[in-house]
Amino acid sequence: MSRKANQDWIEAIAEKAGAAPAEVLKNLSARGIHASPVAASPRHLLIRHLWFSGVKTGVPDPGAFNFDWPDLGRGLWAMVTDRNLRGKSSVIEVVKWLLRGRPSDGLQADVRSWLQQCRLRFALDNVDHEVRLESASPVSGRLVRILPQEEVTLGAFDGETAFEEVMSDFFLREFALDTVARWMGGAEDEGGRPVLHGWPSLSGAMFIGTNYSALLGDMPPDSGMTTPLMQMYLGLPWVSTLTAATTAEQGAKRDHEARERTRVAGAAGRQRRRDEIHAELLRKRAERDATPSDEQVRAQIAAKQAELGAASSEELGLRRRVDRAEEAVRMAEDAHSADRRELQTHIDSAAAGAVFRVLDPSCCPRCDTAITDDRRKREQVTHHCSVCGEPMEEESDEESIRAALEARAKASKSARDKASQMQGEEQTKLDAVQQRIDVLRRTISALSIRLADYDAWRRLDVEVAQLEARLQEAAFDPEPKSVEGPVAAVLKATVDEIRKRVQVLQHEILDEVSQEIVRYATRFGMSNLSSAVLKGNTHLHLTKGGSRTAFGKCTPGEKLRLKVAAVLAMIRVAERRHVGRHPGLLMIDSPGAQEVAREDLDQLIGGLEEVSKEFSHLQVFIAARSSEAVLSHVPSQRMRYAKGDAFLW
Amino acid sequence: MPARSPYRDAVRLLHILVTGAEPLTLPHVSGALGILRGEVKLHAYDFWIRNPDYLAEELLDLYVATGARRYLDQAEAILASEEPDIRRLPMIRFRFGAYERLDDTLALLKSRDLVRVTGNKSGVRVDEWDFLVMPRAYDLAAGIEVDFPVLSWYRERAALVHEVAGGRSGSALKNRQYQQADYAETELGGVIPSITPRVSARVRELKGRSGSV
Repeated sequence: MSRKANQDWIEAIAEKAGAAPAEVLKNLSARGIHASPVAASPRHLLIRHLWFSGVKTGVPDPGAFNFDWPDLGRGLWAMVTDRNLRGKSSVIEVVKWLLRGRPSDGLQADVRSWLQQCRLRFALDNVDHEVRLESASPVSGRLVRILPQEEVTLGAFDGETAFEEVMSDFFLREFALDTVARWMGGAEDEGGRPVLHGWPSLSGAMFIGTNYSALLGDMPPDSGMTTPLMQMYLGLPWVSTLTAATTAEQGAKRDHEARERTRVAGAAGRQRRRDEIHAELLRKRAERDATPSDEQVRAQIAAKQAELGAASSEELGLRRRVDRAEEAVRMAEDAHSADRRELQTHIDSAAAGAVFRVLDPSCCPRCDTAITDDRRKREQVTHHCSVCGEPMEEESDEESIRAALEARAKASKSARDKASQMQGEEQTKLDAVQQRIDVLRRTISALSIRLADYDAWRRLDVEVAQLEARLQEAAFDPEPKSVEGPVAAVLKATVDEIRKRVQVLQHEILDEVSQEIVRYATRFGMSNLSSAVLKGNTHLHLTKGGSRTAFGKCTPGEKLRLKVAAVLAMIRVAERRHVGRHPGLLMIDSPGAQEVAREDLDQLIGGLEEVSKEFSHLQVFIAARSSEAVLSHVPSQRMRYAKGDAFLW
Repeated sequence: MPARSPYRDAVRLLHILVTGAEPLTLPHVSGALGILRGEVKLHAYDFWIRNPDYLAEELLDLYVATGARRYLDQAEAILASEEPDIRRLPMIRFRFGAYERLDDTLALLKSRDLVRVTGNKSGVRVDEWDFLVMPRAYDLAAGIEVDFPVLSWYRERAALVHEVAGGRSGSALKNRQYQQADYAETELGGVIPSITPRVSARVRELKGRSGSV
């Protein structure tokens, strides 16, 4: 059956979580989550004999003491003093210490120091056991099982830790209890941690101290232990599984949250870094792009040099043409000058000839002989020179020669003008080309200087590349978004599945327990309580005098009676259904005089005396100051009573 | 080289003689009214008339030496009228100056009894020729001025050269001309070159300088 239930459990969770059953089993086993489908059957604890001895020091009545309370059995037992501070609570604390293996805060340091030897004999389902402290300080002793013919040492201990281990191990096994891990505080990075509650915590269901904040046990409500305690002692199947799964789920959730917080914080930091790098990258890119690259400059220079080459050869050609034009101008100029000179000469000569022709020679220029009239007349007739006798030429046509010479001069002038114009044109072209060359040279020179800036461009280019790499690196997310993943899904499915299983049964049981609480509380004098509803989360809703209220809002006296009623109700229902784990032992410490009204306590004790008889197994110890109610309801043989100023021990 | 014109040369020499001759204060046996002493002086005058660029340079020197603006203006006018090109009659360098035999031209003048050549003899050799300018020469020069205005340039130029010569002796003028660089560098027997570009530049420079003053 267990095997089958176990299988169903895993399969149901696997289906819910959408995971393979094998994977579910592996994950749950790894977290110590096991099936607990079997309801616990009650085991009964009965204190038979308490004995402790030691030496009191530093008090008004110092000296050896020896407290011995044998022959204890079922029913109501009381430790009564007329005055306060006469050792009632210490009796309960000693019992607590011996059962738990760990002293509670309630065990006063001076009392602890006085103790030398202690023994507690108890019956577990009619088998006697005894805790023996041979030394109280340091602790050493043994736990023995007392069989009819022999004693079996179940565990020997030497030291506080060993003592606690022996007692925990023994009772957890005997009561089939599981340690309960509860997550305390926030996430791990906020100081949260899982706290393992063992026997000392679980045993709290047997003790009612003076702190009434929680309905069950002696741990404060924020310990988260109240509900597990209730479920544990109700003995519901699957409870330990649910508790383990819930704790594992909480831990996983907190882990996930912590990882998420870390991741989100890291991601935000990385995003900031990326933004910074990106901004820097944009800046550097712009700066680099504004700086001409070497290639660009070289290309520009090459283009300009090609232009320069073309312009230079153009210049060379033009210079030749200008030279030729100049030569042509010079030649035309010379020709024109010659023509004009010739014209001038002709004009002068013609005039000079006219001057001299009218002047007849008067003598021979060679010999100075006078020219005779004879010779002059002969010249006029013969047209032979009167001086030398040579024939004289006719006057040439001066005017036509002059016209021809003038035409020549005009022609040569026009040739010169034309050559000069051509030269001017060629010179203009040459000047333009030379100006272009000049501009190109200056441009190339300026570009060459910018080549020196190439280092700056290179540096910026390298910086841009580095920033790009850094941006890429910063974009890498070392922690991808934490997904709760299959484990979280499995744990959640587990919690859901088990809670469902627990709740089905728990609901019925809590109904019964609630009714019993009303019944017992009424018996303890809360006559105006008409209904109680105990929730799965241990919240107790009440209807009192027609008004709805809750456990937390009750008076201390009511709280005390409700706490007792709750334990008795659980034990009662467990007995009826043969399900549950409460051992049937309840020790109630005396409430402070101011906190709980005298009458409330009397009503409680009166009720307890009656109801304890209804139980097949119930042992109740109550520590109280003496009162009519206590003294009348508890038989003297069931009571340790310190009268007057006396101490219980 | 343009064709030679003996009559034109005669007109030129006529004006040189009429302008350059010293008036004879005492009546001369020949009836001459003036005398130009020395063939060197005749050649010197002739050089400046035949080479207007060299005359312009001398005018610039005078301007620089005297500060008289008209020398600069005259030099500029000579260059502006392109005279160095049109009126130039190149001469050959010979020994210590420009030289050209003037016998043929002088013969033209002598045969018309415009000038008489006389020599100062030391022994049998004539050291220096003087030129006696006859009254007819003065009349002819005046008549040319009236009847042939196209030839007045020769008279005006002879007058300018005479002014530039400023009473310097023939050899002084010859030395002066000889100092002019291009002239000096001309090989013996070579044609004395034009210095027009250099003188033009100098005119511009001096004008710019005077303009800025």
